[in-house]
Amino acid sequence: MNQVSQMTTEGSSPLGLDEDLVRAARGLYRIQKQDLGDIAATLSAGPVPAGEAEKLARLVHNIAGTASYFGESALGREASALELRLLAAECDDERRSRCLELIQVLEKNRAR
Amino acid sequence: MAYRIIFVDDDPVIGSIVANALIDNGYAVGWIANAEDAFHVMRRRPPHLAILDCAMPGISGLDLLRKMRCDGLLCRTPVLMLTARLSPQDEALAFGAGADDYLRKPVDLDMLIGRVDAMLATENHRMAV
Repeated sequence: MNQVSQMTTEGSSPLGLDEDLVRAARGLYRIQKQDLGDIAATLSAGPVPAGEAEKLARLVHNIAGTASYFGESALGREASALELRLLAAECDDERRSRCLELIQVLEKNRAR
Repeated sequence: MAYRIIFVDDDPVIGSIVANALIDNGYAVGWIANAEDAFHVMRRRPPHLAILDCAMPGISGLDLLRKMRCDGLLCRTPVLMLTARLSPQDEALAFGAGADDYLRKPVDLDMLIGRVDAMLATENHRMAV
């Protein structure tokens, strides 16, 4: 089992990582996901300007880089692909669609 | 004396995980959340190795790398780039900017430690020759 999947087990500490640290990191990760969902929901209420999409993509980027540490590899992969699509969107309405897509991805992974 | 590593990433989750994994493997680590501060810290006391996230708000990891390669004190510092992006162009950009190695996130911690060990061993050999 590689180090990424080992971190998903409650109480496991690969490479001797302190369990309290892992617990704290997991808590922060959950807050980041919640914030991401809240921001995407707010933005998706209307057309999304490019600047706001870039800020959102930054948050998606962070989730993409850490989701697997907490047992959410599928979310990490989807977030990574969605980050690129969000940045590539060419108009406010397209960016709004990407926000709605992000909300669906977060909901789908919450249900797993 | 422990090797000094500077890790630059704006995400506190990965910052804490990676920094602690390196510390647990005997390295002295400074985690810095933005590239501008990191550059000043590294100039004051050059690290033995730097690990940079490619994409950060403001000055990116790639921009920081280019700045390091133009700086007399930091131009030869071994640099490992990290990124969550899947685009193959990102890897080419990183090596083109002067990165010595590149890992995609989510980073396997064993692999990260292995790469850091190898990079420092190579640097030691280079200095000894």
